Amino acid sequence: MRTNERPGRQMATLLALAFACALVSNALAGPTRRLAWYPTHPAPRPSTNPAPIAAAPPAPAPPALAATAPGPVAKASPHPAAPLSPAPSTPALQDLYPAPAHGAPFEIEDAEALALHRAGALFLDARRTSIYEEGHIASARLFSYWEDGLDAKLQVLADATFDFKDPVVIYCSGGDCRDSHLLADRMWPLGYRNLRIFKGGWPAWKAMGGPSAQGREVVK
Amino acid sequence: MTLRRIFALALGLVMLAAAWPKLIDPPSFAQTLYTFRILPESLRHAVALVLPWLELWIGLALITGRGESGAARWAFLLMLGFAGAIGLNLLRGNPIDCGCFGEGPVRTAAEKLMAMRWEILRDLAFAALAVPLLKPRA
Repeated sequence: MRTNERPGRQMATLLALAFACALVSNALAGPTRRLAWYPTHPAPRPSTNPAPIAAAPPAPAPPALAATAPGPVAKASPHPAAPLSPAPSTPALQDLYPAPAHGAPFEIEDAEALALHRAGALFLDARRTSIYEEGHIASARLFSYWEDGLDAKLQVLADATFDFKDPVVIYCSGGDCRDSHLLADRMWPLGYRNLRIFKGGWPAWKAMGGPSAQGREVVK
Repeated sequence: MTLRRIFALALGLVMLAAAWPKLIDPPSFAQTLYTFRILPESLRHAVALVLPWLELWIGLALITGRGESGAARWAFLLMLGFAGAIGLNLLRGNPIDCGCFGEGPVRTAAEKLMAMRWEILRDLAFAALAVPLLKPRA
C-alpha cells in the first residue's frame, strides 16, 4: 500500500483489498461458510406453474394422530432424511392437509407439526448446518437459508416429482427466528402452495419429545 | 509514543476484534444484517462478505501506521454508520443483536433494546477516537 498521505487513495486501496480478499476467501470457503454474492431465485417448474388453488378448508390435525403420545427421541442414531424426490403425489396427505385457499405460507402449532410428521410430510430445516447437526427433527432435510447451495437444493426439489400441493413443513429455532419464513418466501414463487411454518420450531419439538436425530443429514 | 499513535493502536485493535468473528462465519453476519432491516436483499450478502475484510484491513493499517489517515476515515464512517443503523432500529422498536463483535449472549427484547443504547454510545466513542487521525500527518 502506498504510504503517502492521500486519504482518498488510501480508502480506495483498502476497499479494493477487502473486495479481493472477500472474493478469494469466499471461493475457498467450505459449503457451510460460503455465501452467495447475490441471492438468486430458481425458476419455477413450468409444468406446475402456480395456479389459483380451489378453496379448501384448512384441515385440523386428525384426532387419532394428534392424540398419539410423542415417540421416543432417537438421539444417537440419525434417521435417514427424506429423499429430495419423494414418492409421486400422496393424495392421502393432500386430503388430510389440503393447501389453503389463499395458497400463501402459514404458521402451524406444535400438535399439527407432530401429526404431519407422523403422516410422513416433508420437513425442511432452515437453520445453519452446525445447529442442525446438534439436533433436528427426524428425517428433516437440511435447507439452510443462509448457506450457499440453497438455490441448487430448491431447484432439485422443484425438478423432482414432488407435488406442489403436498404439505411441506418448514422450521427453524422458534422465538423470533425468521429463517423458516424466509425459506417459505423463497419457495412460494416456485409453486409450492402448501407451505406450513412450524412456529415453535426445534425448541418446541424438543420440549414435546418429538422424534429427533443428531448428526449430518443422511439421505436415503 | 504520541497520543495520535495510541489512538490509532486502540482503534486498530477494535477493528480487528470486530472483523474476526464476521470473517470466520459470513452467513451468520448476513443473518445479523437481515435483522437490521436496512439493506436490500441484493446488497446484504455482498456487504456481509466485504465489510469484515474492510474492517481487518482498516485495523492493520491503523496498527502499522501505513495508510493511517485513510483507514481512520473509513473507521469514522463505519462507526457512525453502525451507530445510525442501531439508532434507527431503536427508533423502530426493533430489538436486535448488533453482532458488532460476533454473536452476543441470548437476551430478551427489553435487554436488547437497553444494550442498543449503550452500543450507540460505544460506537460514537470509537468514532471520536478516529477524529484526531482524520487529518494526514504533516
